[in-house]
Amino acid sequence: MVRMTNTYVLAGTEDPDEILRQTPYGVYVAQLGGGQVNTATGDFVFGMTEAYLIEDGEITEPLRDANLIGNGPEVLRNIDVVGNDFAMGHPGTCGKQGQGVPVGDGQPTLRVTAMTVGGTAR
Amino acid sequence: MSQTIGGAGQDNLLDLATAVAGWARDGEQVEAYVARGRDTEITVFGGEVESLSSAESAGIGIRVVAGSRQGFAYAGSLDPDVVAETLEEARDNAGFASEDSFVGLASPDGVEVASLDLWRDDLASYPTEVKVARALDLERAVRAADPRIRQVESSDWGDAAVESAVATSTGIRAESRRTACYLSAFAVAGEGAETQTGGGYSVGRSPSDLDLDKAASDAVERATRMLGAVKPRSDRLTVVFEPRITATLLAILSGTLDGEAVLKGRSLFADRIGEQVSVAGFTLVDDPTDPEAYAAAHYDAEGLATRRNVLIEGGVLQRFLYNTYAARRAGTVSTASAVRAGFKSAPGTGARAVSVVPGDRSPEEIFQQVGDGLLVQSVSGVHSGVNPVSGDFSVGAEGVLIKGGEMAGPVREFTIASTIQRMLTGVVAVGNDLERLPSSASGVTLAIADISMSGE
Repeated sequence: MVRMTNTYVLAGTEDPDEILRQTPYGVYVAQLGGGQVNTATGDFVFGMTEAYLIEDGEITEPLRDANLIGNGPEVLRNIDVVGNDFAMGHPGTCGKQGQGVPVGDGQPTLRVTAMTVGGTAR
Repeated sequence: MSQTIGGAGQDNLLDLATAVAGWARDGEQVEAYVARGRDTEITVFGGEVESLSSAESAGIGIRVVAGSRQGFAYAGSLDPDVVAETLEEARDNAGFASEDSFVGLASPDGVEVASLDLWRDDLASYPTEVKVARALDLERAVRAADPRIRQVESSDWGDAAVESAVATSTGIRAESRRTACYLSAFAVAGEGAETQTGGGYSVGRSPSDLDLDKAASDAVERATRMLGAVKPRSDRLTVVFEPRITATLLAILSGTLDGEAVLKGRSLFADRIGEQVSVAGFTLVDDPTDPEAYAAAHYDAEGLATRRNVLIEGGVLQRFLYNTYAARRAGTVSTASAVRAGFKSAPGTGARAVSVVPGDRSPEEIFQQVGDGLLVQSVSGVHSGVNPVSGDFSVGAEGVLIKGGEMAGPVREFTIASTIQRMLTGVVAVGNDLERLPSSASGVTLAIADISMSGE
């Protein structure tokens, strides 16, 4: 079966603090939870286990029980800034048709210009 | 010892279980759960078999309760020496367990066993090549139904035939067998650069129960009607859930009514028995004695006769689901809701056949009643998006907007959000279209008011 091993996005040049300062309104995602992807259409949904509101370039309040929804190829096109703070994340296990393999992934701070955030408030 | 088992005959599961239970020593309780099954899973793609697995398994899970300690061990074999060793291991494991005054096996509780016929010889003897042929037929039927179907992502056949028996030194004697099978397809429709998907399935006990044309047309209709879908504007509106999505919601809801979750303080319904948690037209039952339910069963995993448990009646919370252990801890009696994932696991608690008592309206009448709203045909991210402790609910969804009581444009890439508590009190219509799924829940069309839709 074809499987991934270590998948990562290479670092860019921007200072992550500067990326935050230049974001007037958005969501800062510190940790994603479980999710689901429709591999035929690329549509995905991910729960955010740790996320905050960004207002006028600053992190303000935490967001609870919200999720992100989007389309993989579209989100890749909507990345407008790439940070210089590359790091690998925690390793995990990826399952496919009953086969689990150890996988890793990593990325720098990335900003996506538009994505839908689901929840009940605001 | 091994001669005793040999004499009982390995072909009779109940005899074997009874023999093992008979080996209980003084001051000890012994339970033997014996299962033998065969299951087949076939996936075809592009006119060829992509994967085929057919597995036969047989094994025994033994629980020993010695004083206030419980031990469990299992083996994937019914060989007499292995069975004797497994009992010794369970005994040994009990010695390591923490003391817990609530451990104990089920005892006969006088509930009569439902008269159910859940076994079909024609499935047990159905040739593998015919199963493959039916999966291929389904793939062809989906492709041929509409020129906009670009491919069939997968077309599957699955079946299982399981025999099991439970016996205990406390007097339980239970034996049953069941067959089940399904066909399912996932269609990919396209126009230009756009791709949409939709699924269809059919379930039954015998191959002759399966409706291939319905599985194909459901998949084709759901994929093609999504073509041209846009991201909707954010709104608060009434959402109509298709039966299969309602079943997903009911499975989550039944998890919150699990007596084990209640005891651990992980249920949002703890201390709410007798309270109005939903509308008068909403009655929720877990009824494994319903022969049409996919997971219908004569006995629970501890050998108690299954029964119809009313969880919510007329909107009022009635009871939680318990196995013997959870019931003893809660100071009540088992609802015969012990479940196991085969012989390899000791019994937990769970629903088998949860369903809403159907209402009197067709889906079309519900659309008319709702007027303007949203029909949801698929949800995603349920496991991460629903918090069964707080009740917070936020999932990705796809569907069709309803305008003036009719289906209008398809919509995608949005989330719907509420809480389980608000959704229960927001039920505005219960459909008459009970649909069986290959799951522990059945569904009806269900309309719920005041749900947040986050899109554009």
